[in-house]
Amino acid sequence: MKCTNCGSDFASDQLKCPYCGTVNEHALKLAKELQTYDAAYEQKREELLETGTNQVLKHLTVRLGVVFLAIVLFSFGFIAFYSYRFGVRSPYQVRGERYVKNKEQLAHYMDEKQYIRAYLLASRTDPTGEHFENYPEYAEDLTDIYTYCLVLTSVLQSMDSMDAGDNYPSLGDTELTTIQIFYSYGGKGEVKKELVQEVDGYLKNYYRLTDEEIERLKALGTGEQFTLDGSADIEGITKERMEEYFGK
Amino acid sequence: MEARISKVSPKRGWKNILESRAGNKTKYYVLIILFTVLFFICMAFCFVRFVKLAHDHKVNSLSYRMESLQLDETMFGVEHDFSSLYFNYDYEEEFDEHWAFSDAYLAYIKGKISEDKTPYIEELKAYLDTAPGGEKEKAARQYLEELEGR
Repeated sequence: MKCTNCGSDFASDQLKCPYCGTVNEHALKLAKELQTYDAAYEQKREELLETGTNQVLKHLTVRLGVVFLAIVLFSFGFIAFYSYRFGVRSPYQVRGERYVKNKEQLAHYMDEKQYIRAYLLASRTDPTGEHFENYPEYAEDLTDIYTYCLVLTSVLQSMDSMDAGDNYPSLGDTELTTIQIFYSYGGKGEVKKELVQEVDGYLKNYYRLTDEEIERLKALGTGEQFTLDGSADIEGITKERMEEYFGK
Repeated sequence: MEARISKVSPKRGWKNILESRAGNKTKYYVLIILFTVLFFICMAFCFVRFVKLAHDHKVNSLSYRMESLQLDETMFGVEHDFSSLYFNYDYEEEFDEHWAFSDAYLAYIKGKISEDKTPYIEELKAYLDTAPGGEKEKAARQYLEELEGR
């Protein structure tokens, strides 16, 4: 282009004439416009980036939330199904044909006088555990068998220790309480009578209690102290008697 | 002019982040982190629960209990049968043989401490009539001999 002052030729994008220094108004105007466009462009770019990132994050949050929620719900559902389908005392395991079969089996064990086995079956297949609500007709007997099992296991443990050559594990407070519970609660049927005879046998033959003492123990009220030879030291006295009888 | 003190207290805590005071990005980051943490807590809970259920299922299976009973027999002898049956809840028909022996063992225990051993000797003899042989029969014969005082 030509300079408006000296008439020299110079490039149109130069801001001043290289010969006389006159300002090129046209180039200056263009430069200012370009600067404005640049600023607007930068601002728009920032705005778009901000909005875009927010949009991406928003979608990510929602999708991640949905996916996590789905996985969590599925996992909890799976756990619930697994415990229902394969759980030991779950309703699935004891309803329908299984329940009928279990009842028949339980009746068979009771008839055969396999009481402990009957108790194990009932306990394992009843969702209410030791309440035996699944087997109401045997509930009382099963409760008696349960307490009898506690007595029996403590006697067997005691005998094991005796055989192993340890000190005589005599009739302690725990065993005495269990026996008292056995005598006090439960049914009054034939099963209970048989089990009472068994426990009487252990008390008489193993713990060396007399018939009179056993009867006194049976008649003992709540909160009353059981004594042997006028003493409350049941453990010590039974220990002496056992040592004397079994010869240790 | 007196400086006015705002009666509205500034928002604090996670509400501040989730509501107006934080930028949008921070809000989403917090939510993502929150989801992730809760997700892993739930997954850890499910994993532990599943492991426990699977373990229980395995332990309660018939084959596992049978193996456990046989292992107990090998390690502690047939006398341990009753304890194994009782504590593992082995009530099924598959354990018939072991229950028969356990009854004989309990008869021996009762006989051992009783003065009148006759009913227990009879019970042991009845068991020996149908005894399956092996260790159990051998043990039952020993019990009988002991009760008879031979």
